[in-house]
Amino acid sequence: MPTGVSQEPLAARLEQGPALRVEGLTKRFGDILAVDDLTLEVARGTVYGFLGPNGAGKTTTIGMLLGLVHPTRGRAEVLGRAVTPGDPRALRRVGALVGAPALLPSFSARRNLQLLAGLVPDHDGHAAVDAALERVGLAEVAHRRAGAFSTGMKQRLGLAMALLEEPQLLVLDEPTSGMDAAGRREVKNLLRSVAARGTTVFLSSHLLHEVEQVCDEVAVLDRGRLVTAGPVGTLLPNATSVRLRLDDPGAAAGALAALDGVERVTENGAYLEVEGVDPQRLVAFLAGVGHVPSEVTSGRPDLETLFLQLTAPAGEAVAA
Amino acid sequence: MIALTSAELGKLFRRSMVWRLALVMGAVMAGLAVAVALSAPPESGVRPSALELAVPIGLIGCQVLAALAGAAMGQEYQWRTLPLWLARGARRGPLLAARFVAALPALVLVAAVPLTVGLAFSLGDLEAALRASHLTVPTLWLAVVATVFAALPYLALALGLAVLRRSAVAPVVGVLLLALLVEPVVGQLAPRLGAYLPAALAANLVAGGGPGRLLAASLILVYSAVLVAAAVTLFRSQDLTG
Repeated sequence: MPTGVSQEPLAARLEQGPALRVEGLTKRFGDILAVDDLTLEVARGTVYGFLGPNGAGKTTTIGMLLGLVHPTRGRAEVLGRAVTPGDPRALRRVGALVGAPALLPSFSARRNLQLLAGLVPDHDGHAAVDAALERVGLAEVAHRRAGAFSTGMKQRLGLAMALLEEPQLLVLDEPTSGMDAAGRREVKNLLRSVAARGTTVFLSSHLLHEVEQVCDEVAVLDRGRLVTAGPVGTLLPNATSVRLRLDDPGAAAGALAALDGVERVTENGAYLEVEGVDPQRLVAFLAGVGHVPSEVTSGRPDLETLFLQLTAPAGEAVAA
Repeated sequence: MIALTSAELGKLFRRSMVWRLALVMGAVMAGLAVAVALSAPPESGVRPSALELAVPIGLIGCQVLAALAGAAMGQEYQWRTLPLWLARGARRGPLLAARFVAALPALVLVAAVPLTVGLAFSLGDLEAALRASHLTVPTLWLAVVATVFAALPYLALALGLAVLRRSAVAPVVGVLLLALLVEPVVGQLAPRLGAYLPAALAANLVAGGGPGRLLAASLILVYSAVLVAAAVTLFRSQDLTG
């Protein structure tokens, strides 16, 4: 369930304009068109999932958003300022973790953060470093060499770098890579708390279940092109399939003719599979006509199914 | 730029490599001075001065340090700390310039240690072994400045190669090739051309002679400026993807 909505009033957020706006963004590496005419907008305070298979152009797009990659065409705007490689003004309130965390392995975790904090003038580096270490659970081991950290700890340190000095926009590319289940859950909770404080999160991940749980909106990129974008709830097909175990499935199937919205009923041994009506209403109706199911399972197409359908090569069937 | 330079200084001097290199150069100078003191006087009867021994050692140390500074830059492409800093709002030109500027104190250290050791030998009982007439504290500092200045093209080359190849190996190979192969070979085969390469210019700058100190200093400055400008231009145009 998306929970990243900011406590800031919607009107105030809209007045400030989007946190991120991309118009006709295109990047060509020689003959390879990595990103093709990408246009999207991310409202402030939302958690936005940026999805796509490997090689779809996600990292290149993020590189352009962070001024690391020169667009061939189009423009990117972050927090109301155009991003231009070499011009740092747009990125002052942006935190980023792109791929594996970038750190100086011979320095301690604290020193890595201090060096980064030192780049920002007039900034209380020590307090911000301590706060960032605390938030990612590395305060106890902050004195240890970053190079000696496990993959998960390095990833946490990368997150601490991204969270340094309360960014207004957080750009994360696979932030839970290399983390165990507990670590992934912590990151998920962290993203929720960050978003609840008004920070916009732009999240690229291949863990679609997590994206579905955390994100308000998603965009799907395939072969450099935007395939779809919008709120998670509206993108997922509404069709719900319900599987019921009944004493007399034939009679129950006949009774369902009187229920509005039923699109398809399939008898399968002791089971009925019903499409087009939500489980609660279906069970209530059947119980009302004397067919109380002994087992109910509900299946709703998830983000992964949608993603696979959208990004499958032409002509290739997708098993839902 | 100040914040960047301060950060780069912190990175450079917290690494043991600078201190180790300075110690090695000091030890080499001490060993050489002792060897000269213990050996029979040359036929000319004139022993090398402390300056004549220490300046080349200091310059070699500076060349090695330049190569290592370039290697550190190349390494940061692999560690991806360069994109991290740029994504935090650091400008590319100032970031590269800060690296160049931050290396200067390290060069001073590496150049000063052998000269200081030489001075210590000159002031001690080994004065007879090392001709000390040219080495005083002011001369020492002039020699340090000249040595560091002479090393600037190597530093610029190392940083440029690190940017060009995005590699830690390229700057080391490039600087060593120039210093150990190209300059000696050109110096032998085409001495007139060789006189305008950085090593010969450095020798002129420190000891005088050749095209003259002013011309040598100007050419060293031109080499350094052109290489730094090329590195900055290249760095600015690079796409830094994962």
